[in-house]
Amino acid sequence: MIGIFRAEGRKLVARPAILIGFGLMIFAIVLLEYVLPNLRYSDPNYHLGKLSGADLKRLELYPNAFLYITLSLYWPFAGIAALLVGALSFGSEYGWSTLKTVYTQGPSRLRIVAAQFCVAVAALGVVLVLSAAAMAATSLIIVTVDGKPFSWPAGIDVLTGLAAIWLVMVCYLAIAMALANLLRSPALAIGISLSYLLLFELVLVTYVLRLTGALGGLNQVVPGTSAGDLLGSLKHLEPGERFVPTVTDPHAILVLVTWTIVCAAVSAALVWRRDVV
Amino acid sequence: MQTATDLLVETHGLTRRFGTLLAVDSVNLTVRRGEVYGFLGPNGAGKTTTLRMLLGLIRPTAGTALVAGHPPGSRAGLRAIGSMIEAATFYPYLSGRANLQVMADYAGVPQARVDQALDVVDLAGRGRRRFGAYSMGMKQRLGVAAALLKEPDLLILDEPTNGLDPRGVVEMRTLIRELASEGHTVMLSSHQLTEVEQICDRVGVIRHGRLVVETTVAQLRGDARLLVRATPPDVAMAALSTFVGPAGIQRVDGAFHVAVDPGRAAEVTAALAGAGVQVSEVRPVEHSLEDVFLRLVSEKEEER
Repeated sequence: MIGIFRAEGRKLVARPAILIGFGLMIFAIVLLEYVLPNLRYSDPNYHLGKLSGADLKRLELYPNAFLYITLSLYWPFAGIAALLVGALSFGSEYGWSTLKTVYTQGPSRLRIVAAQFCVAVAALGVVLVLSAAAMAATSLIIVTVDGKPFSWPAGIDVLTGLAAIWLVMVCYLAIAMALANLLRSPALAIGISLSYLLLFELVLVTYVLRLTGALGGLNQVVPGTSAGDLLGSLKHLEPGERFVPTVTDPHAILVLVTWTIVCAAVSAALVWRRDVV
Repeated sequence: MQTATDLLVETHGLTRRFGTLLAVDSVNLTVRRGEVYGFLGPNGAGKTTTLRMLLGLIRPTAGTALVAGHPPGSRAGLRAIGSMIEAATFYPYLSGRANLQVMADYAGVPQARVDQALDVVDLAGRGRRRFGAYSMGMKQRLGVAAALLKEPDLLILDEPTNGLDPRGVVEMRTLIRELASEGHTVMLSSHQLTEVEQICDRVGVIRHGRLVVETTVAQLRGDARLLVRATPPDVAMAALSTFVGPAGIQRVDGAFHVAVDPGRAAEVTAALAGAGVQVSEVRPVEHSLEDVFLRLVSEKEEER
């Protein structure tokens, strides 16, 4: 089994689309969430309502806000990143017709797909930690340059937050994996999963259905609502801020885990049973 | 009498249906240890479907198979088989060498085998190039290298010369002959009769999913025939009938094709002379495999 993990690791680590995608994501997060806002807030004339640039730096850019920003950023971007990784990792095998080469090497198909999923899960974890580290480092540089006192969020809160983001990513990775195996194509899997996430979950479920109250039960079972509510509940709210979740944390975790297991089972069944033609 | 260990491939009634299409129909074939077996048939005859079933990539609708003594697709069976089905497919962004390293990891073989396999297919100097940038010939050779990684008992190569230029075809045939001479058992599918004729010991001919014949190349060619030109024809016919009976004689372009061992040519000539027949030509009939194949296929077409 170690050999299969090593093979999957070699494939993932060397893949330019994945490396460049993750690199760009981390670069964009640091640039858009820290560097550019810092330039804007450093202007002494800048105000947003009653808040000055210095207030906004304290609320958004200094280390005390690190967890808040991390949790805000990762929904829905964590989902999108995971969908892309899943669709590319699993769907490309069909596009390149490499399954026949891999499946005739010896290990069972289920072992291979399990290793592929675990390696992708680990890769998402690494990227999550790297992006969080980049954000923390940038935040530290900004506060140090400004010469302001600061504090970090509690370690346990950071770990809980990162674990929650990781869970969301794993759930969407499993959805993309199931779609890629079902559709046998990375492009279709990306197109359909992004449409589902952006159009169905974010627009229809989150806004239209939630605001109109129609099909209220749907909110309870789709992963998007659970992901958003779980990450939202972990933020430390500023005085005056309110967050009213649709589902409780245990419910959200249950929904995300259930989706992950169901999608993984669907993938396993497809991979195990299907002819490789 | 073949023992189980002599047979590396053994199928019984192997059948695969795709909806209403019967792609493979009750195929019984055997591949013996140490031989090069040609699996011959026109495009769409069911060759690739049969090979995929032997590798566990496709499940049969009916029938059974044993490959290297194990059911198709089983871990133990796959460990004993190296294969390349249709075009060689690998990860285009990885180098040829890295692709083999990945396959070695999957197969659980030492990484040292990677360079050895690249050496065998003469790709050692080009192992660091991206697979996506390889020529068709290099891709096919890398496919053979991947098949060799496990030092398999049986190599299954599906149309390995497809898409290659003439030089690539010659190189691939030479490589397969070398592998065979080193003792590898090779099952080679092809629709190129010359290829099979040059490389294989035994052949199985498949047409419309059915195995039409399975025999040695020599037997399939029909070497055991003698061509005789003699006059007068009716007297010659009577004299030749004493050897094989009328059923063993065919009239082809004014000559007789007699189903008799060519080693008996002198005996036949003497009998004809004794009967007062003038003999102008006596020689073995050499059918090309192509002739035989086309005859077999057309016979089966007429039966349908």
